[in-house]
Amino acid sequence: MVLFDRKSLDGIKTPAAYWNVRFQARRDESLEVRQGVVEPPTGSEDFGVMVTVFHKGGQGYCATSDLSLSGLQAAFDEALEWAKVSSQKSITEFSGELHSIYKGQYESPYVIDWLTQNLSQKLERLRAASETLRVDPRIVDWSASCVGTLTEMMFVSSTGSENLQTTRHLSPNLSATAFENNDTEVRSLHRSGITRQVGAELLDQIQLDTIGSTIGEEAIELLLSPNCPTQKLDLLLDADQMLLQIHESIGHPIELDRILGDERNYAGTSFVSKDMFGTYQYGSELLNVSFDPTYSGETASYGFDDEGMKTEKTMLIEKGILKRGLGGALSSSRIGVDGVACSRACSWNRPPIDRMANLNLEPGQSTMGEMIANIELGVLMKTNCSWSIDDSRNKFQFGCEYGRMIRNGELKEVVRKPNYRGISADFWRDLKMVGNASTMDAFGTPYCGKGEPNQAINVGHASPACVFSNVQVFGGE
Amino acid sequence: MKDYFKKIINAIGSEVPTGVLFTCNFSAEESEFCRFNRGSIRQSGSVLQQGVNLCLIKGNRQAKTYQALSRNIENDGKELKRTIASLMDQLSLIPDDPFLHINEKVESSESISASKQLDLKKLCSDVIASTEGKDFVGILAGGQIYRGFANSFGQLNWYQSGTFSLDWSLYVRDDKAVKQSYAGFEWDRSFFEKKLSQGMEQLEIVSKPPRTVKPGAYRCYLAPAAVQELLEIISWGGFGKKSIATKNSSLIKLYDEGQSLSSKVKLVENTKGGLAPNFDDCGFIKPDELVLIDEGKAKGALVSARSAKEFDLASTGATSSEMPEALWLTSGTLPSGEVLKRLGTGFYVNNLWYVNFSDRQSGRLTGMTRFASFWVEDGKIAAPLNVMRFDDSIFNILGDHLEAFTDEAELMFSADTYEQRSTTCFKLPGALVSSINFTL
Repeated sequence: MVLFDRKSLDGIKTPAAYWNVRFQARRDESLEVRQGVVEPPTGSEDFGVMVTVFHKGGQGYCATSDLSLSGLQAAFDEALEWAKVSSQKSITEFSGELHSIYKGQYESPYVIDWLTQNLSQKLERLRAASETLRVDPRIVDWSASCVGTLTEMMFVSSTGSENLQTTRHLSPNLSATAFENNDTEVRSLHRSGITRQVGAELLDQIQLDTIGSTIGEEAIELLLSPNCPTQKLDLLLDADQMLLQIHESIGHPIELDRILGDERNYAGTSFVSKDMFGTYQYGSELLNVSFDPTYSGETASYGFDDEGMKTEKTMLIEKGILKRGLGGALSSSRIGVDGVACSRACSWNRPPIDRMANLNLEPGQSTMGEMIANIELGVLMKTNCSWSIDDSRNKFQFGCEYGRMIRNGELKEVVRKPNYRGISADFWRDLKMVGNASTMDAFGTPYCGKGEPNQAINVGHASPACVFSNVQVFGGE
Repeated sequence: MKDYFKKIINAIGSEVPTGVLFTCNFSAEESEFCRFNRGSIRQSGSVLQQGVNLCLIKGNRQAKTYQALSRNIENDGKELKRTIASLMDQLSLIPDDPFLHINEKVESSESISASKQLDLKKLCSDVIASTEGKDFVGILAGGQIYRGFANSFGQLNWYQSGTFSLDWSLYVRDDKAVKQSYAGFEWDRSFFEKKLSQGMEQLEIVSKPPRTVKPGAYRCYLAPAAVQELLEIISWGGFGKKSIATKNSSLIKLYDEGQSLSSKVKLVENTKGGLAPNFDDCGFIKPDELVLIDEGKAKGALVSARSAKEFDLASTGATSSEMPEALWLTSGTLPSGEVLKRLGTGFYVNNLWYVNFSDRQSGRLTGMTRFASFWVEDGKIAAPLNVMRFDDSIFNILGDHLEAFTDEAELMFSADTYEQRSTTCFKLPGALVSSINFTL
């Protein structure tokens, strides 16, 4: 993999008041076995730098994969030209003083490096895992896949910040499609929600070799089940659906750049306004939400954001009260609200913007059994498969792969195509029970889309299972 | 850039061992982006990126990788040598691929869209000056896009296009805004300012007190941009052969179960009229036109090279995602000037947002109204609409409930810039629908 030498910047000349250089090299390996056929292994090796300069209050960037002195000098010069354009009418006065100086390193925890394992053995393991999905002839499509990623990042600034970060991600998935009598049901291993900074040891932890039969059986079970009923009742969301609920109706609404209006043309605005921080009752007193890039092994853990700021665990919502926003140093300065080190870019060719990183819901006191026992009439939903929310992040509708009725405190029949809808501002206030650590799991997605130009980035959400009262649920056709 | 691509091909050709075939997809762009908020510049800069998707084939085995390039042919040659060695190692470790399928018939082509060199920095200055005093937010993107294909058989395809796109919103307050766009090959400031003036006129209506409407079924007019949102989600596997065969298509009832859309619906993948290259990543050439739905009935599917082999069909040159890249919906008979009159009382929806599936296999969709959408009474706009969630089947919206398409279709370029600037486009009319179910 191409690496960046700090000495490459020796000899660079620029009149810019501040500059930073962010290098990223990334290697991916994507493996899949579908219906017993090994799909062609697909790799990727990408690399480049983004040079950002502040000049006369303006900002400009240039991204290039020409790492020669002349290539880097050309990037500095081009970034400067953009800063001059920006300085004509900039949204804010860009200053290097926004960013504190940090030096350090970060590396993902791992035991066994997946990418260096024998390819034949990896494919054979996936082939065997995929076969466990086919529990019935009504399984018409089945696959096992795993994406491994190694990323090397270096950040250097004119003010003396410098950090090196190495991350290793692994994203395994299993999926089974069942079909009979014009009905299709899909069941998967958390719908690619397992995306973690970890080594090959993860596959043993999630029982990749044997869990497929349960997934296949649940797909068949769904085929034979009635639709989720249409009514208002208690809703128990498992951790792999809490992932999406937290992401869409807490994470995005409290992003400071949305509140500042930067995202209004694309990702949208927010029902949250500046004056709400410190006083707004976002949810019930059971709601405690943290920004935590220090959570070991979670998808979006890191030591420094892409503007060089050091991370730490920070509570954003405590006992239901909104305390802080999700915004990097720049947004925090622009709006006058405390933020966190979350200015991130999806790659070397996109500029950093406010991002969630790991946004986690802190565990409560209840076991899964206690939560089920407490529900007179409700439904348990697992594994997100559909998501839709308005551009202010208020009116939402989410769908899950798998549902199960709860009656008089006991799990009952399976229901298919479970969906629910609500309004963020009300929904979290109806948070009735929060699971304890035994119900907690860390999920994430590499596909959070935002920004202009567009960026899809990885975000993590660790959460316990939770119960919400009086939620409108419904099923399919 | 084409000369650079040829040098890359030569470097690859000299390293690939005898008896091993290769295909090489080249993509590059010289892009400039300027992001605006409140009529000021938020972020601006340039991105120079290039790389190849290289596939080596030995017998019935294939291994693929993407390799970023630096434009320094000496350094790139070293990287490619290492990449090829790595792929050769992989070929010895993987089984035969029963669905290996590459184009062995040499079909070279070249498409270069003539355009003047755009000065995006000058365009930015124009935009700042023209939007003075306005709450203008959006993205200007432009520059050259390059795509190439080459293989061991000597095929060479080249595509080059220089375009810009300005995608923006004018806001009055909160979520009340007018959405507009302007894309093309040459910038005309007076045209942009004319569009801005039209937007400001609409903004006057948007600034009126909004109407909150109770959930229920309402007559609707969906403007072309709203129709695009519906078709984009349907395109997500809907027309792809693999999705259809594995029962995952949202149009499975159309393709497999004899259900129909309105006979007014004719959808065509119009490669000739679109912006995207006319070759796929295996070297197959796309037909100029491929009819997907005709008179409301399934007519064709998008078939990638791999699906063609798996399902014993001819490839339509579709990419591996089997998504349309130039979707044309045939216009109808409703004069655009009569839309409000024919709508009578109901919703005039300019934009939809975040459309997804309530029940994918039934074609049931949900999504939100966004930007300038209005409550219309007796053929006149009564008030801007507070956002509403719809939940209804595509077999209703473009089926039994479809009353008419407008007589004019609008050409719309995708503003997507995930990883690289999109070359996808749509040409779509507006749709008058007798009833759409709104739930929240």
